[in-house]
Amino acid sequence: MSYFIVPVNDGLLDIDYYYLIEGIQISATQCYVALREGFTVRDTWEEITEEQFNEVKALINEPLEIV
Amino acid sequence: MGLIDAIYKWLKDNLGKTTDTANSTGSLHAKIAELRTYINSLVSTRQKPRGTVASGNFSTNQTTYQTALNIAGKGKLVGLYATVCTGAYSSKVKVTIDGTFVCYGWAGGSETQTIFTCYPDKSFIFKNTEFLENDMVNMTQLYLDPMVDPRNAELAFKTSLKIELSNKFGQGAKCGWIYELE
Repeated sequence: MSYFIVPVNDGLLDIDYYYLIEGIQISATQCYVALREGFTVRDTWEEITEEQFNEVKALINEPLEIV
Repeated sequence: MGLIDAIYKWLKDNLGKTTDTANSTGSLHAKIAELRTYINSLVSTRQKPRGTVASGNFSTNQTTYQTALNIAGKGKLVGLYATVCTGAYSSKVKVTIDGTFVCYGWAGGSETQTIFTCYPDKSFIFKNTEFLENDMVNMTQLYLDPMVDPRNAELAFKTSLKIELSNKFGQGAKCGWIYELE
């Protein structure tokens, strides 16, 4: 699994969605993504570590308890 | 010999040859060929065994629709859930199949818990009434109305599948999916 910050254009992530495992969006223009292997890196992407990805997950509230 | 000739002719006319062209009014071989062609035409319209099964999830704090999933191909969305995050009250998912909007899904919550909505769970609301798009209150009322039948949607797709997610006040929403491709 690899981690990137990718651009968001009008709500659409600049990725091939086939490879999206998890996306965390905390702004209108950027999204943190975890991708399964097989993707092609784009110039607009910024690679990050798993730790950085997990840190940003903490910035969005946890899903509520399900009833 | 006359009787044998007659029998041979009857067999030749009715059984035919293996090389006979498919024909619904022809020989037995021709009819079988016609039937095979017909069966193949039926089978080709059915979903083939899956070549790819993939799952994923997407979270956003945006209040406008964000594209959580956007893929091309032929397959079926077999699982979908939506939930809300702490402090949020509602989230919406929007499903578009083959370029055509099909339905909305909805998840609602209080400050401490959420109603879990997951396709094909019967409580998952798929509605295509356009006014629901801009009126969460109406959607909530419909959900709570026991007279409303929360119909599930047919989620097979031939060319594309798109899932969008939004939440009402920006505290966060999350959706997840499982789909299969040929």
